[in-house]
Amino acid sequence: MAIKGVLRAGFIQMRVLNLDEAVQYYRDVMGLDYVDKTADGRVMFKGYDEFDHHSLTLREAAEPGLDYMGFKVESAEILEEYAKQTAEFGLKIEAVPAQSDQPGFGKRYAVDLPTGHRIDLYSEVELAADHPELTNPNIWQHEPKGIGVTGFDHALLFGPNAKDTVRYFTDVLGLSIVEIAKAPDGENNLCVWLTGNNKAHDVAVLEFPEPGKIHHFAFKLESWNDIGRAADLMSINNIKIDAGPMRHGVTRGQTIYFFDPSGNRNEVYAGGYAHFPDMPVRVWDFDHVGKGIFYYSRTLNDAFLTVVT
Amino acid sequence: MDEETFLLKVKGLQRVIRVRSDQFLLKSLWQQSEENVIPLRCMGGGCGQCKIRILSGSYRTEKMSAAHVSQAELASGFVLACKTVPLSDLYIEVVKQDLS
Repeated sequence: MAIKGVLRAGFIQMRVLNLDEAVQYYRDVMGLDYVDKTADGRVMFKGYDEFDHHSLTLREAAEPGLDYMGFKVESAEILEEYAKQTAEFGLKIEAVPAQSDQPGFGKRYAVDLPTGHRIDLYSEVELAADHPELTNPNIWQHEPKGIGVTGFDHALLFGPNAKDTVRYFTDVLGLSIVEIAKAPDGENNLCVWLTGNNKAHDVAVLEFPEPGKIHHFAFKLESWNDIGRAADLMSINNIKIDAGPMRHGVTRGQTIYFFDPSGNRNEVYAGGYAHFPDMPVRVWDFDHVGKGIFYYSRTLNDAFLTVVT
Repeated sequence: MDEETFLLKVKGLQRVIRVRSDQFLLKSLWQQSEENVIPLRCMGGGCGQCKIRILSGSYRTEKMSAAHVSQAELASGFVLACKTVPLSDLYIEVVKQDLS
């Protein structure tokens, strides 16, 4: 296994205002597989092309937003090593027992990031009951529904002390910085995109005054054609589109931003280059950030960078 | 329009807008391309951009983010327009600046 340490952003738990509406949307429109309901009434989903027990959990709450996202690491030994290094780095870390509030998941460590977000690290997850075929595999084990996203891809986190969260990601978890957008002063960073593997990004972090906010979480599609078909289904289902279909300059991905029924911003993302750890970091000056995010319209609107949950 | 409608008056806006009685205020505005009257973004009660204060009139609301409208604010007429259905003519004030 050439990919070491953090394998990928593999999991996210989100808050929604109305669970029934959210289930209908994520299952029937996004096309995620409904896995099960937890004992306390949360609902678990996975993409049809994912092997792990689940990758998305929804919890009904008074306000939408991020509970936490999870990073799957290579082994139980590496997990313990990261836990030790996280404490040494100075972040609050707490063990979460196996098979507790996330069925199918082994032992996790919950880490409080300087940006006010919680991330979980884990190494063991049960194989999903309805996983992609392993012997003479067809492309689907069953025909995908709706937009038919293949799985969870990445998230963009907004919060203060972004520099420290990025330093934790690189120095402790060993993530690679893929691209950087500079702040207006040309020295500080506005946004940093990071990956733990061959994907263009697993997570991005943007400096923002309010802690613990999420700009969007993204699901993977295969192609530009799938992005077009997703846009068709969004109009058919009256989904509020925020931006796109379009391409990013950053990562080169093809994309649509839109909102779930609780106002959480979602993305469908296709393409994007393959990252290798020896690649140099690509940098966007602040006056080119519009093109970096919206490669075709080339203008950034204020609301895109301030509307978060 | 065949549907029952009410009149929406917005503080600082000269004209009056006709809105449907059977759907959320913000959706009525969106459908009439009146996108600049109240800032319009997530349409799901989550982002808080469409926060308004109802100065007069009756209305009902559905669940909206407590991060943007507290119980105390709800009691004093603050709502998100994307989760508010008019039950009479309304006079409102827009709280947020338009960021679009």
